[in-house]
Amino acid sequence: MQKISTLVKLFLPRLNAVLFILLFLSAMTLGPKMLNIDGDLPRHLLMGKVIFERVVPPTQEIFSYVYEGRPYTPHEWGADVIYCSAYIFLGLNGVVLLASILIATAFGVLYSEATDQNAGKVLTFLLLIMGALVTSIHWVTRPHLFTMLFLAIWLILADRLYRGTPVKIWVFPALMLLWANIHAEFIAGFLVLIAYIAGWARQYLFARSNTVLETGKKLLSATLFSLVASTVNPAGFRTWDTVLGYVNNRYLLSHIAETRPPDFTQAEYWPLLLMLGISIFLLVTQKGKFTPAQFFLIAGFGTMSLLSARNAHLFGLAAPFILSIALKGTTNFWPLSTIEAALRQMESQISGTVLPVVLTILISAVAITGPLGKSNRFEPSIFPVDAVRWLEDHPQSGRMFNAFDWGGYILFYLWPEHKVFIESQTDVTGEVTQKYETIITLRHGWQEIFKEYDITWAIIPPQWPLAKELIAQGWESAYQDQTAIILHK
Amino acid sequence: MASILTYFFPRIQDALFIGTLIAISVQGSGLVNGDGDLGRHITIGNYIISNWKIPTRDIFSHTMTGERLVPHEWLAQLTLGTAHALMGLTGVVLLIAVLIAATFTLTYRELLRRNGIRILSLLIAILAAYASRLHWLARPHIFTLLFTAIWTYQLENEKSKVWWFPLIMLVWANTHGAFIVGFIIWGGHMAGWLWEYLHKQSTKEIGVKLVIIGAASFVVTFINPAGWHLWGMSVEYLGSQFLMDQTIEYQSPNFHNWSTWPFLIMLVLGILASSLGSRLRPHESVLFAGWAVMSLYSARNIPLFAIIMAPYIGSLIQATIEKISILQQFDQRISRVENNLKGVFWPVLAISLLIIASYAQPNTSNQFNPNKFPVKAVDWLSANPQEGKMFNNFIWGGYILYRMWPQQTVFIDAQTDFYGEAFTREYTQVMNLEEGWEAVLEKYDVSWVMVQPSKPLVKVLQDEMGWIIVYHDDTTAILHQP
Repeated sequence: MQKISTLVKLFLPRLNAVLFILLFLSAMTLGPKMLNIDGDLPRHLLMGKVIFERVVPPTQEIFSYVYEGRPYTPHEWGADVIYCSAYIFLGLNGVVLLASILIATAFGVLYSEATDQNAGKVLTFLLLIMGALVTSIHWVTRPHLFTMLFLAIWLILADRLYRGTPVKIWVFPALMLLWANIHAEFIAGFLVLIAYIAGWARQYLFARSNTVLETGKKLLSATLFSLVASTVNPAGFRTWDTVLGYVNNRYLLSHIAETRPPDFTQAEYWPLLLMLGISIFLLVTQKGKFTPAQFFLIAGFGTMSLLSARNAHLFGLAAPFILSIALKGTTNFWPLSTIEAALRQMESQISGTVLPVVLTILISAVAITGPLGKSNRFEPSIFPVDAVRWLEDHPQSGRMFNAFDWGGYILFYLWPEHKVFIESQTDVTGEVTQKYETIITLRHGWQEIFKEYDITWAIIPPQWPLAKELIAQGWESAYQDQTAIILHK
Repeated sequence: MASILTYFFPRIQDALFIGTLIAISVQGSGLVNGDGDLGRHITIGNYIISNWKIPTRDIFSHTMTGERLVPHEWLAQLTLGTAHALMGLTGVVLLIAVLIAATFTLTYRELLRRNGIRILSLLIAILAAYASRLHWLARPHIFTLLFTAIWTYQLENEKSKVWWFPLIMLVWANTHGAFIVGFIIWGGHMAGWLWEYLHKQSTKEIGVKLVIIGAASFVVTFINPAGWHLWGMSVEYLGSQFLMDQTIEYQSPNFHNWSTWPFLIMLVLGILASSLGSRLRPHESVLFAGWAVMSLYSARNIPLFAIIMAPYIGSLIQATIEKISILQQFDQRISRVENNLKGVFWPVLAISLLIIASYAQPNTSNQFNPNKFPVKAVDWLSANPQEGKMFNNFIWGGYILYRMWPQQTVFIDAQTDFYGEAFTREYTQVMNLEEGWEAVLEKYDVSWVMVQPSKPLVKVLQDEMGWIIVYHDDTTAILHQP
């Protein structure tokens, strides 16, 4: 190969940088969609604001009058503060920028680790792109994007520990301390460790030559110290209670869209289906290349993604990483081997840092200042933007009934003057959600619930049967546009 | 052991057959009421028996009268019609129970052939049966389960005769439209052979044999009342996303529903078992991954996955189970006893007893459920026939034909592959009161409607169009044009 000039050495990107830029650009482009998929973000931003003002996270419910004063587990307070900081600096563009960096970095670190372990660069790149497509169904500006990054780092560390590469044990509890204060899916970290412990135990019991007792001790220590660290949060043990209570609540799991099983007849789930198919095929055909722990991880996260579509981002990160490591050395066939050799030689001569940095800054600047930046807003066709503006000028007295997905948005602009009936995080038992469902479907007893909570006004989509029924019962329309209607008793 | 006695002691496979047979027979109501197809199949079966003629033009609806009908299930319909003619709906239930029991007995036998451990084979066969349970309905696809078992296990057996395959396919292609499954499985074997051949692990002769099997089987699929249209219809139906979306069984499995868990357990067991001693052959790996993907895409494929995968899972676990000496010794004892037994007597006795019992004391639960089908409304219609053409819920079409054809033809029934996408869209337009729904009723000259009373169509026809409710119960409302 010809010698590469110094300038080219500085600017030519490595495949890792291409992956990062590609995912960063994709996420930035999807910013408007990520902001508007559900109504959680404004609640997180408000919670961040409240924490900034009060210095400590609230441990009692403050947003919903239905649960007001009840114990509240602020299991995502760290993410709320970080998202709010991004919002304070750059508005919703800052939120999108942060989300994009989290997504791209999660896959970037996995690529680096896999290729450091001599996994094929092209194969790893392709698998991680497919993994990104799998996770893309859950690219939403919410705290679970932090979990994607934490999981990526955690997988790397746990894998190193399992393989006997030196890793400081204290890193695990330190990381868990952060994770458990940022997002409730910190439990995924324990699942990873349990898979590695189970894999180690199987090897230790049936193929002792492949492992040592020391590895098992280290994995157990990492798990126990991390367990202790996970309780260091504003709610202590209650965080575990809240999270486990939620995942065992069959009503909530079957009534929240993202916790339902994936519907593979929808094109958005095809990357997940393809990744599952590829994983199964490779596990059964290349079995000798996988460790027991890797089998457990893929089977475990694969099953979780089938039970609940929201777990697809865990599988989408774990599967390509494991597959690319396990399959190293199996791509020695033309043309992959030629491309691989050329890539390795070229990348050995370039620094590959300048262009990624320049491009990231450039994309961010263009996206924020250009038309894309203006699109990063709460869509008036999805959220009651104009209705809330009207409410700011015309505050309503009494208690409101609101659409579930609008709770966070309404709070963001109208709290503390107005508290909501429901929003996406209030209800961890399903009690209020069941009442909400009774009301919006006009099931028997819905009027009693209105009386029970002394509801005097409602903000809901005008096409809902509830709107027509309330009007039929003599409620008056105080405001109406295409998205929302405000009805008063 | 005295030779005559060897016929009188049941083997594990006999116990499995009888257990499955009885378990399904007592749940006959679920098989009959699972969906609205059965009535149509029995009606066509009765027509074939009465006229010695397979209908190739529509005579069952007033909307598609005379249109080409591809009778891709005529042999199944004839069999169902015969069972019904002999023993009513109990005969249909018994037939379906025998087919399912035979399928999983074959699965057990294939498991045993491959891994030689009876307890393991029994447990996996039961798991496979449970996985397939979510699609146990009294319909022609049950024949496909049996054909899939025969086809797959014959392909796995290197001693199978080539002529056997086109013979199976000839019957299969005339029994159920999913005969295509046979070619998908064959494709998996071809891909596996190619891989092995390229890696010098297989011979040219095996490939030639596979090609002959595929080609001969393909040719015989054209021997049916509709000729090449059979393929056209199957491919066209599978290509319509709209029709797929309309059919619940084509939707992805819902893993929040316990009925899908045996499949999930099989899937995970298959993956984890792959990490054990044995290794799947290339065609087995292709079929495992391929059917897993197809089953995740559409729950309808789960029973086929279970039948195809069960023997593979048995083979994967075999080496590990063999290390458990207690289990191994126990299994050897059973084997020593079983090797002297010939069975036969017990399955025959079980079927005979069920037939005698159903004649002695007819099973009243094997009926169409009045809460699901318009049983009382059709009773009323028999006494009060309505003038003009009817619009009906598509789930009820088969039942209405079963009870009232040829006096009454339907607007639509559950045979959506015949009615096609364009017409089914018109039907949903009316049911969902989508724009232009009134024009659809006018186009087909509908003068009365028979749907569930809770449907918005009833309220709108009554309140806004002035139609009169002439019959009403908890299940059905019949409205007539003024």
